[in-house]
Amino acid sequence: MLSIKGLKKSYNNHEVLKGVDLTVAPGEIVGLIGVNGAGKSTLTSIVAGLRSADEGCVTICGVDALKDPHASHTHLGLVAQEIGLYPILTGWQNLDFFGRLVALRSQSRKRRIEEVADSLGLTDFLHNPVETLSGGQRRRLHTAVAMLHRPSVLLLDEPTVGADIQSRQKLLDEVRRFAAEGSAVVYATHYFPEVETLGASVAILHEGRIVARGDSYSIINLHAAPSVELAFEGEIPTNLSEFAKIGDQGNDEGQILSRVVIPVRHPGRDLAGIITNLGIEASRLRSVEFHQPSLETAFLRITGRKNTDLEEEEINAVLQ
Amino acid sequence: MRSFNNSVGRIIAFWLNESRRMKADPGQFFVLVMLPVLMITALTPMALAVLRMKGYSNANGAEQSVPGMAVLFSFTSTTILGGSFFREHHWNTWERLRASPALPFEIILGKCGPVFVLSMCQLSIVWCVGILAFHLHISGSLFTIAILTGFLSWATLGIGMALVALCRTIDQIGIIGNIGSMVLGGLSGAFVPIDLHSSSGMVARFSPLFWALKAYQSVIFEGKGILDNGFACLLLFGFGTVGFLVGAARFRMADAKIGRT
Repeated sequence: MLSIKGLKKSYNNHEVLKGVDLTVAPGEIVGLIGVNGAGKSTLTSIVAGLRSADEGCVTICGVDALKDPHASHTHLGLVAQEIGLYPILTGWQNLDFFGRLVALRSQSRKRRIEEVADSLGLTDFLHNPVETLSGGQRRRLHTAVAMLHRPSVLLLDEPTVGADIQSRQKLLDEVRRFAAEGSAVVYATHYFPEVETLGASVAILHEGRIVARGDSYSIINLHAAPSVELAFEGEIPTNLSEFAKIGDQGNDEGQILSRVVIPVRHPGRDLAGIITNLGIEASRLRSVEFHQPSLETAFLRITGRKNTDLEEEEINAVLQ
Repeated sequence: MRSFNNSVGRIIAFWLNESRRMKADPGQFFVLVMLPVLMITALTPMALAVLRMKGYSNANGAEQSVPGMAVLFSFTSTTILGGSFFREHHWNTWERLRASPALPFEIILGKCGPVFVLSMCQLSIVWCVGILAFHLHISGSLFTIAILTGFLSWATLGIGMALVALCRTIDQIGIIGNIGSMVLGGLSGAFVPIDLHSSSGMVARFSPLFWALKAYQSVIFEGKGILDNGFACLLLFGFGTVGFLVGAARFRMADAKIGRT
């Protein structure tokens, strides 16, 4: 439904996209994640026809979106990062106008306005001028405009920025429902819990390329390890000194505790190995905490440390 | 055929949207009508003196002040059209339009149409107030005045479209629209007849306001018809058409504009 191949884009000799490849199937939600400046907005705006590409190909429902953007726009819904609404018109007038632009006929337009307003909780203030609505209400209305014509491809660029918890939840529910009806959704964000809540597959955009692609579970398994946090009375044992010390802290008994985080593959088994290797030093161990890996830790590993072999070596060193 | 119908539907959508925006801000239209009426009130005594001096013994001053202010304030349609485009950038709705199936010519037609109608309404009210409240006597027909008003609105709208394409900020278009109307109007004889400042006569011929005012006064004083003013109509049409051609050639959907003062 959406296919991006070899997409490149530079601004003033600075290469923002260095050959992005991404395919999104009908009914799939892809969480496009990346740090600020990774190129998420550039990518979504090229797909939406708002920016030109230097190289590459974007196909939306079989239409070449770079050669014929207007034809592709009938299949596309864009929720840009900045709210785009007419403040002096009512919510209904905004929806009616954008519904007309996508050629929704009178009855179906009216029905769709009622449907999206209902599903996004907009019905009660649909006839109020937009300038009188709260930030969260505007954010939902902004999203409703893009969903009005049931586009085959929906692009959302950080759609929950500034939204309250209620608005955020409604938006996420609606995006999930939208995909369940068969639309391909690209959800650009740097809020990792949202990607997990949506049950989205993940595409990590880093330094102009998609560096990881797959479902959250496999990306976490592949790129992030669980870890154990050990607290010792006094100094950290010398055979653990190569791991990251996360600071000293006093306990209730006035003792100074030193903490260290150790990545592990199999928490129970590896912890037993670590404690055995500590020998007599294990008597200074005061607490143990397990940390489960998350998308965030996987992302940090992928974008912060490119070589996970180092961690493999660290784990093996402790176990031996 | 379906594509044509969709295109017409989108142009109608823009018309409707612009009309709703104008309706939501009625103060704008009120100012557009009230300002010329106030100016007519202020300038009519002076115009009376000038016309009597020129030998129009039956004149009451409205023959100069009403058409003068009509042409002067017709130029405000350039800033209204500019605001209609530039505010889309301020409200971030321009990106939405660009990501929609709307084509540039549909946006231009959809935005120019309501401003043309607004300009016609504004000028019609000014003429009506001139006739009813200031006892303006027109020797020719009102139909000729209406046709000339149509050509004048076309000319100012074309210039407005060129400014939309050429200006980068709403401030630029506001300054050009407001000061331009004063300068062009003054040079064209909107305040005092042009033969009292004959040095500007040649320059004034490059202004659509001059030709409109000349044609209006030929209808008022001499009772001339539309055919007698064919040259003026042709020039006004030309000004508008050149403006639209410049606008169409320079208009870029992707141009970054600043719609905030």
